[in-house]
Amino acid sequence: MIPPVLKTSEPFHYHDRVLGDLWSRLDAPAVETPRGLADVLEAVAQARHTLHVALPLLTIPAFTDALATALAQHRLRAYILTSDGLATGLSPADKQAHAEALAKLSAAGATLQSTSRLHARFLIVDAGEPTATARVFPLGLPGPTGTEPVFAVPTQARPLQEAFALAWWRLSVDRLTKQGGGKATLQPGFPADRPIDGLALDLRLADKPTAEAPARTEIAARLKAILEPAQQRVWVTHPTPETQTFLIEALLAKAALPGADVRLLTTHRPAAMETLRKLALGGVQVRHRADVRVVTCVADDQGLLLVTGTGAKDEKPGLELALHFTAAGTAAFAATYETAWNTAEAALRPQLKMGEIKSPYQLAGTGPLGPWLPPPVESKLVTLETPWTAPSATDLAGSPPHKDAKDDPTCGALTLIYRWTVVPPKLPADAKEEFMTAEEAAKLGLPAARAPFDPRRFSRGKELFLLAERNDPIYLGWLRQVAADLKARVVVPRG
Amino acid sequence: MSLPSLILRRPITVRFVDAMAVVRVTAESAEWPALLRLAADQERQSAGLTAELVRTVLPLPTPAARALLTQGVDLGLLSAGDVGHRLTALGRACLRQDLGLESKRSLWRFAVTDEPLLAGRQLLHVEERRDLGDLEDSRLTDAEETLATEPDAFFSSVAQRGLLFAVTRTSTQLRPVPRKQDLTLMMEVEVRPGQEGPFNLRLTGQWPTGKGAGRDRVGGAIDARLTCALPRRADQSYADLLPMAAAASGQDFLAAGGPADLSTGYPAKFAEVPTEGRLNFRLRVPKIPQVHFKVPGQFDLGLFEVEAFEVPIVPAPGEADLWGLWLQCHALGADRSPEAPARAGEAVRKRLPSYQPRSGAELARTALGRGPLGRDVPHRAALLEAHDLLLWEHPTR
Repeated sequence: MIPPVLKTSEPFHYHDRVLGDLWSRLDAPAVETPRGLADVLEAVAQARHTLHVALPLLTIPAFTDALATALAQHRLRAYILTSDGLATGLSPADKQAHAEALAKLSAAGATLQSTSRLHARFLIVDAGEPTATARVFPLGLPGPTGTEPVFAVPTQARPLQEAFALAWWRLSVDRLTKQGGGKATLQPGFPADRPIDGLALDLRLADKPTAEAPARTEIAARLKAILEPAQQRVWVTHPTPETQTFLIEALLAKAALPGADVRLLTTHRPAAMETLRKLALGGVQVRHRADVRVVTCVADDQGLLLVTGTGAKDEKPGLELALHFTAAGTAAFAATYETAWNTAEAALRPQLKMGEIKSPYQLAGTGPLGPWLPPPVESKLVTLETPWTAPSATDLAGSPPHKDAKDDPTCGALTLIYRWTVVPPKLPADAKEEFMTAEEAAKLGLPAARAPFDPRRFSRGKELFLLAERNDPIYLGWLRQVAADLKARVVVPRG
Repeated sequence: MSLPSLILRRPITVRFVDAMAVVRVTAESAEWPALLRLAADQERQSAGLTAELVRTVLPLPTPAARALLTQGVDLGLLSAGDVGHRLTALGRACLRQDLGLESKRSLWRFAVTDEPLLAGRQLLHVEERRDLGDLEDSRLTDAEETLATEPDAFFSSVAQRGLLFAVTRTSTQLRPVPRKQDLTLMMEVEVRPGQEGPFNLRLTGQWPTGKGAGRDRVGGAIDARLTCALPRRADQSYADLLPMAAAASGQDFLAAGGPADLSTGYPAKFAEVPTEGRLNFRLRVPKIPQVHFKVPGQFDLGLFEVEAFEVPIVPAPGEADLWGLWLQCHALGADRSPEAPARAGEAVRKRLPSYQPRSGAELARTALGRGPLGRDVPHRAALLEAHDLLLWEHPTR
């Protein structure tokens, strides 16, 4: 009786195996819940003189209440640029909340004007006073549990005030005050091209710019201007970097500078992967955060924060702006970036070898992100479940499972050892034993009738089988030689 | 800068007395208007009216012409002189009415007032009594001084247009008409700045309507202008009476040592002047119900109601700039165009030449309530909006 054989392969080493582009999960500290609305409400409560609010929708009752309270307590002058709340895409609940806010604030004494062309969203507290401060919320005001970012930009209160004034005098449509509604008084004499320190402005007064109402476009130029001279660091947040050719080129160029720290914080978008791979290979550090929806840029000691529209199809062209930080302002702004960078979810690692993977990862393919895979283990023993029936009892070493299994990448181990069972073939039931002829038997001194061969031979049609009676290697080696000579298969006895 | 006229008013009581008297009253006449006109012509040539001249206009024998002149003297129309007869004041008044006089002895009803300012003009109307039915209700009293008049005095009726009369003599007794028939008229004294001479008076009211039509019509609404018979005292000038009225008005601005020269206006403190006054440089003094015009030891004009008047004012020293600032803000209104501040500033400079117009941004800053104007800035909300939204601020580059 010859039993099945348990076979173990030699170890296979996968350290140098290249898995491709990976998002490698970062062990980021727990992300603090952003203070968002609470911070804005606190700023409103600090106001003692004026409030300038640029916000298309006033649908957050807590914010409306805070404004009304501040108006009542401190006799503030509040100027609110908002929309009429009649846009088609709004839900009925939002429309109602907005209408209620308008009524409440005008009753409280605020001056409200409506426009659908101001795409920047911000709040200025005590503009023109030494205590002036400002909050920018590029994606709109966060709700009580919202995570939309809120930037505190005290140094930019004045430029924001100028942008607000520009929109107030040039873009307003209707006016609503305690005394009632009416048309807003426009001031065509208010210069639309007035330069504003600390701010880049895109302004289109008409749908199609004309010679009388030329468009003012500064943001892209300003972004280029601050990227151009950067030597030490270029830190960019951009949700859709692949659409900005000049940005890609600038990042690659800066990454090539010796000692430059070039970072891009972005989201995973299948369409962007080619670009991201190119950037990562070019030396740009790319990290992923699911909540990146704002464009920011820090270049050496300058910073840029874009506060623009959503880019929706039905959005009217109007005023968008980019806050330009210099020197002092940049430090705080860069710190914000640093925090976002350090709490990013994943870093893009191009063409990573398996031996370099230390944390959970997923393939950064051109599809959606999948589940995180665990990092590779040091070594793993793989037992192949399907037994292999060897073609011949003598051929128990050359195993196809071994050949197939060694290329399996899902094992996630740096070293793989496979184990499988080899089942020897049995003598078919309908095979008939062949015996030596009388002459052959006579030569060996055996009885003439029915003398078996050694090893015993069986035949079925043209097939010839040799019966193995032991499985010691020496015997099997000899048997293999005989089988090769006779072009026969080695089998083990039935039962 | 024109100073206001003071209009003083008070009611006067007119009582009526019936008395037998010889009264000369104006009447239609064939010859007197012509004669009076002739006399007036002669006077212009420094000559008098003589019998010969009378004969040139009237076909009379010389003695009759002389008798006519004598009658004129008797009636008080003419006075005899060296070179002929001249017109008296009564004669001149009759000439203006184109009427003559006739002397009648009858029972007359006189309208008399005791108003001191009308002393010498105390008879306001005279009417011949034909219906004597009510005489039984009254009793005779001594005439005393009631109807005493100067020899040359004549009166003009306030109730009947064109009626002139003079009392020649009266009986020593008369019958006062019962008090319930007394009449109240309103007397108005208008005191104009710089005006000298006797007070000008005006009587208004409703006189009981009598009979007659046209020139003979008596009564109805009356509005008569008279000149006070008494000369005005030097210490009753406009400059004396205005401060008295102002003091009674309760407005301290005049009491606080007003300047001698009223024509430049009173320097008023900005804070004490209401908006209308700041705008017009005039301070309105509302109607004062009762002012006693009296200087102890000098005169007592009595109580008057003073009609509302406006006093010209100027900014108190050192406040012209503040005032101008306020005016510029006011003139600016809600107009927030780029050129509006300069336009408003120019308008103010026409009123206050010393004012230095401010730019829009400077004006807007005043509205913050930290300047001398405080929160008292006109159109503050509009200015604050302009300030908070940088309307007039153009950074210099």
